[in-house]
Amino acid sequence: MAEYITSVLEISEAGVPIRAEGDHVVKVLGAVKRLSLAAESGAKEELVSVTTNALVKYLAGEIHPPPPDAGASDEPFQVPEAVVMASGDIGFLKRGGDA
Amino acid sequence: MSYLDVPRIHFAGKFYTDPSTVDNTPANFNPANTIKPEWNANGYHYFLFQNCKVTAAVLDASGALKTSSADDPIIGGSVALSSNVTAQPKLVDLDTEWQTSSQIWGLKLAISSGSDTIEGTLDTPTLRDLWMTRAPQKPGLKPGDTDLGPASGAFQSVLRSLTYAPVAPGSSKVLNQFNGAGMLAIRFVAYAYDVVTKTGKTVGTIGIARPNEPTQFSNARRLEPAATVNPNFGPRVYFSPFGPAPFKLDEGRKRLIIDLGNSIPETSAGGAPPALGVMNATVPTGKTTMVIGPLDYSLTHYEITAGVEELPVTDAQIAALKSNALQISVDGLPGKPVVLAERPTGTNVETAETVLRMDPGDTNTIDLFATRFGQAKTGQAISARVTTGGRRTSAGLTFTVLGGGKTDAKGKLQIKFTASDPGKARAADKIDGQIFLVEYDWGATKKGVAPDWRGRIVIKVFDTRASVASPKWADVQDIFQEYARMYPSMKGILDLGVQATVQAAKDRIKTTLSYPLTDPRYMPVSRDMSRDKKALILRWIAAGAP
Repeated sequence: MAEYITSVLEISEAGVPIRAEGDHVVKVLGAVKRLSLAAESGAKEELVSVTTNALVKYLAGEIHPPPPDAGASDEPFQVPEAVVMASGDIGFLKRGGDA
Repeated sequence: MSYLDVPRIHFAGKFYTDPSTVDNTPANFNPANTIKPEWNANGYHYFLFQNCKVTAAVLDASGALKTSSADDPIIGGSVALSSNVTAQPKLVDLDTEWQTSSQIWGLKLAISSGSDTIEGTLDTPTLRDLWMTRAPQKPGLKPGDTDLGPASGAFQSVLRSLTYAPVAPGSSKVLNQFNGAGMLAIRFVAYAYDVVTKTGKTVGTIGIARPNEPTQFSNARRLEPAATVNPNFGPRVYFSPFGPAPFKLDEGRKRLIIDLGNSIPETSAGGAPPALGVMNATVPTGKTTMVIGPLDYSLTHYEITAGVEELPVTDAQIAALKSNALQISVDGLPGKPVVLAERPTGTNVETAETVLRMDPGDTNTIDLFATRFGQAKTGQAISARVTTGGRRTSAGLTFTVLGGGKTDAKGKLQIKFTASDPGKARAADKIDGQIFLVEYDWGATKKGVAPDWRGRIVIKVFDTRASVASPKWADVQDIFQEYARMYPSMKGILDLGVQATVQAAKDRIKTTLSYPLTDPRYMPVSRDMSRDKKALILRWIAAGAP
């Protein structure tokens, strides 16, 4: 079954181009990253303590997206493909391939 | 013209700020609680520029970047706090429960080339595009340590009431042009703040402001990271690998101008960017991807241009950009990813102001501007709603989206706010008033459909305070003592917790309370005293402060 991973921004603005027949799984990476704040203040001191480990690894090229579907034509994403997920991990948008 | 047009100058240097941190903790407002001081309890809230030098200028329509004083003596000049000030400018948050929209009050800047100086007073800007993950945290942090170095954000505004000294015109062509403009546009980025030295780095750009143009944003276009949206802080607080970037397509000059000042990540706070390979501006048109050109994102170049990059564009690229989204990609990461992109639909909505302070009975309006690929979007529905939850209710604020909820011929729409008594919603914690989060969405509200949330306006509405005909110390004591507790630095100036001290300083207190909010001498510095409390104190002073 072909798997597509999209973001709220992409699916709401541009949709997801599905190229093959048959069943597809479309996963939407959440738009809501909830932080557990000690206070309701949202002090910058607390916001800045969000873990950046995944971002550092992404920018060093150590975390990267899955390889594109071998049979797919080159169809670049219309939005940035790296998404910071609720867990703090980096998620990547994906076109096709096996779920 | 604006700061993205020509002529413009770029500057780089440092900023200093020392906000008091006692009011960072809401629980500190209750005198029954033990004060949690945080990292700078004795701060004064000063905000200053330090050693900011003009690093470059773009003098004419060619877009050529000039870095030598031989091209214009302003290069190598300074951007500094004016020496003609009555008090230091202040950096202040809206409220203890809303600390991400800091504002600068009473800043007067001097732009100098040798002995020639042009000075102007800054309209109060509100921090925008707060990007919390520009740099990684310092290694070795222990629980309880504070590191604000990773955070970055932008202030944009205008300089008014320009004066030139000693005699215009001078030898700098740019300063002469600025002097003839009447109003200047400025945007600067504050980043790499160190809580020990209380200094951070800043880069900025100054150009000529257009009359009747919004002052706190560029009504142009905008690149966004694929940031997740935090429900507490809205769509425009970023936790993302890259930060947002305004940009402009200048058809007349055939230039694409992108402001990457608050966009490129660093390997350490204020340090070099990661090795990302070639960074290109591109336009996917559906059939092909046009490469407009590479962008220099090196640290050295950044501190010369403040991140404002100009690329020449062909007629074909201009045509493509009129109906397609701009993207930025890097080839040094696996998959050569797009790291910043305009929304595929090209739609954007900006608000002239993001925070308001209101007293019961006040009305106020805020302008919003809708665009599509940089052009005014006429007849666009914009909706608004108030986020409630916990002790945040909607009691105390009503609003109306004017114009039938649709933008006018210029893409503009207004929201009118009316404040009433919020009913002491935070009285249990001894905090005045209430905070209202007004979200604005692209399009009309549809039942069962998630809103297309684009931004947030935060409004503080103060509580009413009963009037007293002949106030005595007992009627005002709690107000003074709150400020004595929350701002301990005041003790060295005036101990607000002691009746005799306050009484002896009553004339001074009357004077500082009576300045306009925009005056750097205004007290309280935190700008969080309600109209009713101020009136009560002034009545008490008028009666001789008994």
